[in-house]
Amino acid sequence: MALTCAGCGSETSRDFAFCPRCGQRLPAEAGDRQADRRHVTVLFADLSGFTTLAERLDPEEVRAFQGRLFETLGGVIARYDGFVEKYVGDAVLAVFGAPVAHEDDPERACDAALEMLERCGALSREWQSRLGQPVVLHIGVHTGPVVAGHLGGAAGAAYAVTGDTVNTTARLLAAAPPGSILISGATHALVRHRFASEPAGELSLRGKTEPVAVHRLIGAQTRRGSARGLAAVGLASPFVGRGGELEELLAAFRRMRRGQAQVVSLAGEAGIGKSRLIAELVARLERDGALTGVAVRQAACSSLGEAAYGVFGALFREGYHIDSADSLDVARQKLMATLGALGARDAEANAIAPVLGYLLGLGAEGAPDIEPEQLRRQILLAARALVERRLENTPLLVVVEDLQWADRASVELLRDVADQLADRPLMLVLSLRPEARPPLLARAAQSVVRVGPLSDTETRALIAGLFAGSPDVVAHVSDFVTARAGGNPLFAEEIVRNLVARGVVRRDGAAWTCTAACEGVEVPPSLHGLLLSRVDGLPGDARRVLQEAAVLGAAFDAPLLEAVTSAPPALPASLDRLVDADLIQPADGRRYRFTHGLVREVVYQNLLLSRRTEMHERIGRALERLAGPRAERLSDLEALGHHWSLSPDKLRGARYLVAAGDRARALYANEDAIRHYERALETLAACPEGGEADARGARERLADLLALTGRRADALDHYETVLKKSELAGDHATAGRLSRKIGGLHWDAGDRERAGACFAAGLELLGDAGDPIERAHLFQEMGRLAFRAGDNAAAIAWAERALAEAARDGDTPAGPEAAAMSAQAYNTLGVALARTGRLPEAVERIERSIALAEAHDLLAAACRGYTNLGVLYASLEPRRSIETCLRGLETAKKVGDLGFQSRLYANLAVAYCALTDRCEAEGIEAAQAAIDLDRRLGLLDHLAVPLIVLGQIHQCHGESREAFAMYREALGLAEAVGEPQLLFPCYDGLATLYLDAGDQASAELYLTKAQQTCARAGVEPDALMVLPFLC
Amino acid sequence: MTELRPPVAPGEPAPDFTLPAVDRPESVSLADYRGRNPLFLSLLSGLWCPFCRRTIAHMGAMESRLKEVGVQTLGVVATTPENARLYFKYRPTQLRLGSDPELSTHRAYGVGKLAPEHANALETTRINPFGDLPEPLPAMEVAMVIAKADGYAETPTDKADMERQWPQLKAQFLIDRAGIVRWANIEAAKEGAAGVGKFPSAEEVIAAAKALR
Repeated sequence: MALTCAGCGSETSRDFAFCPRCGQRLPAEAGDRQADRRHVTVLFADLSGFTTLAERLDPEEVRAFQGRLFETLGGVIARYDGFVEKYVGDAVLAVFGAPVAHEDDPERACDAALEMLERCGALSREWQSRLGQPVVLHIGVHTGPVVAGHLGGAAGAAYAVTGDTVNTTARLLAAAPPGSILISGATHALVRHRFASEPAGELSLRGKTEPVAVHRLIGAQTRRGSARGLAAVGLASPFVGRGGELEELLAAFRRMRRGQAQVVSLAGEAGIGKSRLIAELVARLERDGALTGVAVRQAACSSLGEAAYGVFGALFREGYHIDSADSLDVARQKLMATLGALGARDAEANAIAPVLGYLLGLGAEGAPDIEPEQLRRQILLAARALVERRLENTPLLVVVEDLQWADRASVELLRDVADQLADRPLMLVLSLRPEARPPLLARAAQSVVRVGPLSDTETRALIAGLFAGSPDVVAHVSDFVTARAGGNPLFAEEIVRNLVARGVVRRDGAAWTCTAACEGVEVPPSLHGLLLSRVDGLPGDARRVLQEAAVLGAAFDAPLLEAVTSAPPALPASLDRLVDADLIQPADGRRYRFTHGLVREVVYQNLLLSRRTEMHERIGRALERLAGPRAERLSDLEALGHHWSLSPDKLRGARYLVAAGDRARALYANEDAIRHYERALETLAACPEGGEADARGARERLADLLALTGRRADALDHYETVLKKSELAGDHATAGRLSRKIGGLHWDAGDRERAGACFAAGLELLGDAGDPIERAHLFQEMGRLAFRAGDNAAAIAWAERALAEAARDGDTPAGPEAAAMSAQAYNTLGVALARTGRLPEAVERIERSIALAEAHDLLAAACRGYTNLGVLYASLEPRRSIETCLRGLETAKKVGDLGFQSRLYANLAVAYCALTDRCEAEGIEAAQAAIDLDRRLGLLDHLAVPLIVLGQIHQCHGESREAFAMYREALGLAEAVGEPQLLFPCYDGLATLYLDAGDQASAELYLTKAQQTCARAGVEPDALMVLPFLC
Repeated sequence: MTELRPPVAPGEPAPDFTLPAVDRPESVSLADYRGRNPLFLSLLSGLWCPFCRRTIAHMGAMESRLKEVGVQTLGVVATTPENARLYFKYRPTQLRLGSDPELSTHRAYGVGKLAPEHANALETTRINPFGDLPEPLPAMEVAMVIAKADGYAETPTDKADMERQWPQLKAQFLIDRAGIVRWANIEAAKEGAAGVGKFPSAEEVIAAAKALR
């Protein structure tokens, strides 16, 4: 795996970024780097009025100038590690973030743009006499997604970026007046903490409805704001956790005050909270008054790298008030003056003077001719003298952040100074990334504090602190943010900031509100570079494995990865490498998971769409091999559905998703099943062809579950769609079934007429020769309808006809559909028999219904049986009544059927009140639970029941006012439905209330109505008193 | 109100009573049964209680089965004869019923009100009957809040009724031909799971009646 240097032709290892022989920058494994999608910042610069210049001048002169210009601009771009995509005429197109991402690419582009303007100004002055006119640049900068890679795929082909982002940048360039830099809103949002700018209006772009905001870049901001602040949107992060780490720092500070030099290294990944910890340390010391008389020096290293002694120079300039613009002479004067004030002898000052240039980070300008080792010793002596002089006056606390970017010379100097002054009150606090090594001290006390991820609880506390006063928002975003941030507070903050930017979370006066679900919100743009830079820095094999793992998911099995990876032999080493880089973590068994959900997302988004679909297909095939010919485990089906639905064979994915939904439903994981069916439908909608029948099946299953879980309107929409499509497809059996299901929904909503019409339509669709089971289902529904309307004779007839129809083609119908129908028919038969006074027969039928339902695992049908049996037992065996209600309730909860839960709660309330002394405590609660459920679900055909029950409880307690209100509301509903078993208790209740209030006339009116209701339905009043609310 | 005696227990003589009958314009008394038939006596509360109305319907179904074993049934409802007569005009029943709005029979048999610890449940059970209260409130408070919102003022009669009637316990006694109580079931006398089956099932009463022989 060697690479040939283009500069000297020598073979070098791929691990080098620069050729060790000649120093030429080596292509960043460009050869094996595949094209990918990434967020980059594009810079487009050209000369204003170049055309007129070219017309006026000799081409040779133009060419000479062009050469100088490109050399200058190219130098600036290289300094910020940008990539020159091409030079065209007088224009240069540069990309920051490809082929290798940095965590601050937008900032680099802006720095480069400003420096280009400046350098071009100098060039213009230099060439003015030859060109006869000044030349000036104008620049456009924009950040966005591109596809980057070698055009044509060959290693030698030009590396290029493609995408609308490039076009937009060109538009910005065209709009930028001479001498100005226009940056897009997207770039502005990412650099506003570091650069000053002013709004420059809006730019309308072709193909975009909304114009984009444009800003003119003015310059670097003098006061550096927090790059990671949420302050811009008005949020302040609380300091969370880190109690132990802060205590360690404070203890080191106390030891330092006792005259023991301390070097504390804070090691932790980007964004983990090292800077915040240091800020809290300083704030805490200040609050405690511990910093009085202590000199504090702070420096932060730049990701662009530091010149030799650059970091030390920065610290030292701060202490001696030396400006970076000061000449060496001015600096020397300031140094002497300060040293004098600190009480230094002349000899000391004279020893420093010759190496001052080094200490200021200015390098060897006019340096004496000294051997390197001797020079190093003199620099150390001078540095030590400077620090020691300071320490004689005050203790010194030095903070250096991002030491991983510091120059080695500074790090060694700091280390040696600390070692030499080990018995002085000097404390160094260094922050660094985990991949960097903390300096090794010989004499000074040293400690390394690992700043690890926050616990989930701490992350939640952070979010709660951000949105203190808006608990709804906390509840809404907490899981989403916590799951993706992986305990990294910066990630958590940036995810929140992105939610605000996307309008998912919005400020509403003093509080915050949520306007949408968090799902589908992508990786925050501010983190793209940070995350991708960690991936781009990996060797090719490890990076490819990481990409393959990202397609597998946030957690993945090593054997599966082995089955799909393009280079199996390299897998173990690559996994170790990824674990070392803390990108993934070993989980239980041979399982791994991504340390941060965000890393997986960014790696996945980094892949070309074509590569993703190809990978998903490969994984789908591997899963099929591993799961065997018939996958049954829910997790296998889910994975198969997920990967195939993202592969070219979407239909296959949709079928797995439907299978996963069926499996989830069989386990009563209703919400999961709904999710799978919905995804199957989305997948089928994206299928190029076919899948029409599959879509009907998935939609009907989805609607079944939506109806079951109380989302009736959605269920109805889906059923209507399937009905229409089945009729078009000439599928009468399905159309008949759909008519039955739609009728059932109308009946739930209290619309008896429409329900009946639907059942009749279903029978008509099926015809006399139609599927017997489906016809039997409809007869059964007609029977149930008749029963509820008070026509018990008809109900018995329909139910018996249903049972006979199911047996039309044989003696005993088999199969779950037949069992479901029979269970319902026996139930209908049972309640109608009970109403006509044939109690023992009724109990027998309903017990048979339950047995049948349970034998076929038809728990919904069993729920209906329990509901009715509980009522029947109430008069036969009171003790069994409550047991039966509770058993039914348990079943309904398992199934997730809220409608039956409500019925069973209401029956339970009656049982408690009629049969036990637990009326107050449990009866009221059960009735109330049923009322709440019915109101929430809009189950108007049932709401009257719990209202009546609660009314009865109030009446029993002498609370006639409340009882009146309950009965009246119930009566309104009962009259709309026209059901005798609902009307009767309302009339009876109101009559007795009037009786008790001394209003005999009104009492008689309602007693008459009650009597008429019974006469019309042909039932005895006592039957409705003793057996209420059958269904 | 006079001090309540403890409930009449099996083995004790059943206290005498004479009450206006509901189903005919005369009176009904314990003496009507003494020396002739054993009596299943059910002391009910008023018609205001839907669960009592249910019990009456239930007793109606039981009456004929008790008659088969020679036991007569008599219910005592705590309401005026006029109210009871109007109600039962529309709900014809085989049952003999006596009217005792003053609950004098209940007191004579030592059947009192619900013990305070049970009544307290009403103050601690929280409900939100119409879903319009900001949060569920104790049942008693809800009544007050709603009454206030409706501008409802309790009349002295309402109040008297409440105090007179609620929460009155119910009880059943089986009295032998000699007028001695042989079996008794007092509401809320037993707790927990034993509270199930507050109104005894037909089987339970018939078994007790058979034991009289």
